[in-house]
Amino acid sequence: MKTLLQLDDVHTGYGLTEILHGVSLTVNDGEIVTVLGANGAGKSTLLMTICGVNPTREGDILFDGQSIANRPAHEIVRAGISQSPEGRRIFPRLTVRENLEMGAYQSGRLDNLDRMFTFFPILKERQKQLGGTLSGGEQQMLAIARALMACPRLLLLDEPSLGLAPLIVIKIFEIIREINQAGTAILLVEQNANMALHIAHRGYVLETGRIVLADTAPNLVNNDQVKKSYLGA
Amino acid sequence: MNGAVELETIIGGISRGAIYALIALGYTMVYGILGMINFAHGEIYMVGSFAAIVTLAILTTLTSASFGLAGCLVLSMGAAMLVAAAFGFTNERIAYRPLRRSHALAPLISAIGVSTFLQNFVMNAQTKDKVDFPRAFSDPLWERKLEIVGVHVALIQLIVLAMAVGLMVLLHLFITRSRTGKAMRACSQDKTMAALVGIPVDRVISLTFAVGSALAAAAGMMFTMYNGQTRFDVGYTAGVTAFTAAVLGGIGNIPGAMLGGFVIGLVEDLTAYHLGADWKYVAVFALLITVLIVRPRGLLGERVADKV
Amino acid sequence: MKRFRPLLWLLWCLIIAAPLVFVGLEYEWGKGLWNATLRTDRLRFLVSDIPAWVGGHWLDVIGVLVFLGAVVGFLKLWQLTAWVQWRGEVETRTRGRVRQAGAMIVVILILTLSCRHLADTQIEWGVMVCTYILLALGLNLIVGMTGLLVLGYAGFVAVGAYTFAVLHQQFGLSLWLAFLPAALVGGLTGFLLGLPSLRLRGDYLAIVTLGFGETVRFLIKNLVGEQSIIISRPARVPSLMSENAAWRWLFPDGLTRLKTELWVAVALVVLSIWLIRNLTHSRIGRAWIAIREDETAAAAMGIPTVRLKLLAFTLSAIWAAVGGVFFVAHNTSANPEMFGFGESVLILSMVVLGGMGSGPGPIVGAIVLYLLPEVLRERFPVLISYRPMIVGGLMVAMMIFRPQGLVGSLRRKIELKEEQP
Ligand SMILES: Nc1ncnc2c1ncn2[C@@H]1O[C@H](COP(=O)(O)OP(=O)(O)OP(=O)(O)O)[C@@H](O)[C@H]1O
Ligand SMILES: [Mg+2]
Repeated sequence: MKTLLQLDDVHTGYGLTEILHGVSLTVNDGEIVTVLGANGAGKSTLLMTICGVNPTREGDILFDGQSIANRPAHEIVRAGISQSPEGRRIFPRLTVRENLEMGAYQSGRLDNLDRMFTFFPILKERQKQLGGTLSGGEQQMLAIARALMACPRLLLLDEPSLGLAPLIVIKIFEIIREINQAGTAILLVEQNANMALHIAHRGYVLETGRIVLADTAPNLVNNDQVKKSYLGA
Repeated sequence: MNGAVELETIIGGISRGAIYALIALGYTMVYGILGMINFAHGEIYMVGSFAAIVTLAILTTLTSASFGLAGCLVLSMGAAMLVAAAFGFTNERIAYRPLRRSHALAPLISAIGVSTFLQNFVMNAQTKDKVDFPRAFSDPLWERKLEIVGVHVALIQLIVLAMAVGLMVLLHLFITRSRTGKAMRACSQDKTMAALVGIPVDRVISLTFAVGSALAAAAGMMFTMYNGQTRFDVGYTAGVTAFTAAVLGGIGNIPGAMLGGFVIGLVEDLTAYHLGADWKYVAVFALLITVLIVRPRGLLGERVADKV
Repeated sequence: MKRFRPLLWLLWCLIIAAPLVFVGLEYEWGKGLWNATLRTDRLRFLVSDIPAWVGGHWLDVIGVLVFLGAVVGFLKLWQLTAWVQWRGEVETRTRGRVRQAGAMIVVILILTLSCRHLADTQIEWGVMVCTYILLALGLNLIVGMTGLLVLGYAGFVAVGAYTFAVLHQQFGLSLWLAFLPAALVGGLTGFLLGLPSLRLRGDYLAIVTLGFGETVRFLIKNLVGEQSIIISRPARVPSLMSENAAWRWLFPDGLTRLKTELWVAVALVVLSIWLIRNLTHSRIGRAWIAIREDETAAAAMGIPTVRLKLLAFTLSAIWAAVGGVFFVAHNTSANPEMFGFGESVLILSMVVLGGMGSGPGPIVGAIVLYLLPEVLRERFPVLISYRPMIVGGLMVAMMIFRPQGLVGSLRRKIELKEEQP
């Protein structure tokens, strides 16, 4: 299998504090990879660094063999990585449709709109509504759909189930799997480790800015430490 | 009180108001996207007024104004807008971008620096005296009077009003319909997220400065044509006045800037008519203070209040 | 490519400036039209005159650089002594005072000794530099200490100046008696303007004060009149040429009016430095710095931010008013046009150049931006006419490359460069 994303000893931080102290991980073509970790471990920071929002202070990030470390964020999107960030960050005063159009800013693939509307029929109904007026679940769907509008080869999802009702969580995870089966690799950050390990192929455990464990998903489910810390068993 | 004269005053006020609205738009756009006031904006307006006169002079000398009156005026406005856009773009690159992550005081001071520099640059490069708008171009427009329900309106007032409103409509369409315009709005709402969806945020910010500056230059050209003259220091008063308009309408709010501009134009002309021209500026300043105390988010602003 | 960036930017700036620089205008009255001319003289100026001039005056250029270096070096050394003391043991108040008093005595000694030999122009420079130092010190109270940008400082100067001028015109009040009412009126104006506007965010405050500066000028024009008000002789600083023996031992030749003015100005500056230093080293000063660094946190700690900002604003206005009174007395007349936006920016740039919030910063700023162009006026006549342009460019450059100013502290640099959350 081909390596799509590769992080080599990546360091980053905010101001004087370093948050990631040398993270290395890989995502292969067609995979779902999950990153587990406690609050404040640096998971969101990791995703933002991959996307070029945070600077890479040391180390390198390769996407498809090319270094994307410290490239401007929009070039990284053009290269084929898009993110649905923590807290959704819908543009509150753009309509649902405009939010989706912004997702396609680099790809220009407005024809994707119809595909998104079949994935998330509710968004079609709400097209003209302002993003800020959607419910939390609707916003999450919109955030994922917006990220997909870029036709990414790698989709980064930061806590897609945050604050959603269990039924919607299941639906979102079904959709994630569907997207993956259509050929998009996924890097998934989740608090809901159970669900995440259930759909993922492989997983990493991040603790205070370092990778402490890396294995296939089934092995992680059976790992005692993971069971204790993240699966609540 | 003569009703017709009053009405004519009001029409004059509306024309000037339309011009202030154009300048106010630049303040509001930059504020919307950076959360900062562009202190050099008034100077860009002044540069625009000079660029228009220089263009007219070049057209007169090189082509003996063979494009006709309207052609020359449109060309000079276009040229002024281009020049000013270049100045606005440079202003952002030099005074704002290197300081985007600094303490809020730093970009304010550097913008004041740019503003001082531009004022004195134009004074040294051109003149410190008043410069007349070429009468041959403006007089015919003043002489043509139209009578509308018993009120005499000069053609120039209608033209100024129409052009300003036309530009505002164009801007509105640009902001709401075009891909880039939507990207601008996205950037003003959440710059990080805008970068995450692939919008080149820095380029959008540059463009915002350029577009705002072009509008200011159009205003500078029309105001000079309307008023008859310009000088290197006109940007300062016009800047504060237009800023008052932007705050009055609700800063960061584009329709608000338009509304604010019209209101300010009216207030100015009515004060000038009733109290004397010298009191205009005092009235505007009093209005600014009042708005900031009573309703800092302006007439149409909603959410921005927390930023004040 | 990256290495040529600055050059490309320079080229770009030249291109966009070209239409305004190289096109001259000539009015054709009969037709009511402008004719355009190509200003080849400017091109010549740029490509041949300036290089030739620099080639011919390179000693002057080096001299200026050395002078600038010396000023900065001296102040750095001065700061270093403070720092060494601070490292060893906390600088005690007395020690700081001794150090300061020592410096003052040195300055006064130099003045006394050289007073007799100074020409009138040089004394004139001295008086004006002291006036600007006075004003810059006052502005630094609000801009530097509290971190609030005030753009209409000349407005406060005008209030003080016109209080004096009008009182003099109406009641023949003299300079000495005018200080108090001017300070009162100035302080009151600052207080009243601060009351509504200090609750605003920084950039709003800046524009309100900008508007204020201009409004004051309009008001003076409308209410007092556009003509200059002359300050008659008896109301100004007197000359001390009489037979009074009390000061004869110090100045055997007596003092001309100008020399007395210099002494008064120096006294005002010394008094200000002393007052401001004590103020900034007090509880109030520390609270101001807290506000400057993080207003929200300061408020959360129970510092009454609005009240303290109001105090700084009022004090700064009082300083401006006092400076205004002295300036008018020295200048012998008051005119609204003397207190324009350009003056406000000049004083602000002195504070910025020297170092916002640093003690000696405004002094250095005033010396560099006033004295240097004046002293060099004869050799570099362009310096005076291009001063505002240079000042503007300097303000941008300082913010980018040295936000703490020429003599500012590292702490201030970190404050200004820090990332905003
Ligand atoms: N903009 C910022 N400035 C300074 N520190 C930050 C910033 N963003 C995050 N941090 C710090 O970085 C650390 C890692 O944060 P991050 O958001 O990456 O954690 P996380 O693993 O995503 O946690 P969670 O599961 O709660 O989302 C935290 O200690 C946080 O306080
Ligand atoms: Mg997180």
